[in-house]
Amino acid sequence: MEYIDYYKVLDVTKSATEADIKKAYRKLARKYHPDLNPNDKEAEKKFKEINEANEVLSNPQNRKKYDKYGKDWQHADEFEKAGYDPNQQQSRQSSSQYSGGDFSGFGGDFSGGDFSDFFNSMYGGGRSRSQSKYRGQDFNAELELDLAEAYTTHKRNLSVNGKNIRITIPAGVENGQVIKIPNHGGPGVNGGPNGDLYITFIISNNSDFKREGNNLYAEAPIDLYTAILGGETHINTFDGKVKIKVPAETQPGTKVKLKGKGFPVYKKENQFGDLYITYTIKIPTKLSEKEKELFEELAKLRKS
Amino acid sequence: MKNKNLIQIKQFCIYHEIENTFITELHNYGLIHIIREENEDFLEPEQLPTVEKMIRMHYDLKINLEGIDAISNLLNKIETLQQNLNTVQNKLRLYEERETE
Repeated sequence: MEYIDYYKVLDVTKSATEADIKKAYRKLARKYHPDLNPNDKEAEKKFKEINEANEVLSNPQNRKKYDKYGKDWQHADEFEKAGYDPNQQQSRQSSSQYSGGDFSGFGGDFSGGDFSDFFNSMYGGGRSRSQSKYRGQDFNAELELDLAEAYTTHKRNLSVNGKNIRITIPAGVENGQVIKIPNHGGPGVNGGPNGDLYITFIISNNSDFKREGNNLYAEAPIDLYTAILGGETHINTFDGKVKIKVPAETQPGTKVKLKGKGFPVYKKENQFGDLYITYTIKIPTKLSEKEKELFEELAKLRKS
Repeated sequence: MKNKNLIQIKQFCIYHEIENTFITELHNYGLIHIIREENEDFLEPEQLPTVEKMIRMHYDLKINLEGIDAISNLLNKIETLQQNLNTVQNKLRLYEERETE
């Protein structure tokens, strides 16, 4: 367990007054509060650290204990064995410290479980907080899908913090897209409502198609003769093959748009993006003598 | 009450231990929308996370209403920028995949 210098966390000196600590805490809280730093895990971590530091340093008794045993916190256990009741003492101190409604605590999103092992070893694993009702913590989770899975609307069972939930994943979900599952976050505090669950989709693509929004891009090889003389070719789309006409004298790199053969549009049933095909030309190999002769003849005709 | 799902502001304020005037002020600043029915003020449930966020800003972080207004605008801007960034990253990924082929 690592020793945490709470004074350093709050950027105050050991001789800081209660007012200095409060001021430093408020300044840092405004900087790192999760409401002001959405989707920022680093800020959230930092916010928990400053909360923990404030919990200790803003309480004169806790601060005294920290100052005395902080660097050698193992002795705190012996201290408690000698009759120290951290919960009782803390509760009393907190009620006097936080009276007058000046400080209501940044409860809501943070439970005692967010405190470091160091804090728990020093102060018995608990802290008092205002009795206000708070909405539970929002949970964030990542869900990996491959492109084929993102192509169809389907249901998925998830396990979030030991609870199983079944969610519907609408077709057309984007890589990095976040969906909110209301009420499936952490439980509310003192009867407050539950938080929400935010799921970020990570979509891997091992297919021959490139996806850009609702459009898909792919290459389609056609043989030299079809490219020159025109004809038909079979193209792979995401949900099967289609036959399309190839005009005569088609050049390599020619792009063709297949309307409605792209990716499903998110939450819009039966609407699809487009598929863009780029033709590549397959040059024949292992030519027979006769074929070589004919190509040479063709070359002469072209040059003359 | 016509819509049973609406949240009575009076009850909401008791629950959060805040003054009704704070919610009225949020409405006056155009930050939330209060629905008035049969001489009672209500909030739509969809607004609750936003209102609760503003309560935390004001009561926990001591940010005044002008500050909340400015922060709300900036947070909306951040959200739009994050969405744009995501779109651009996805596009970039597409070109990087093309290059490595």
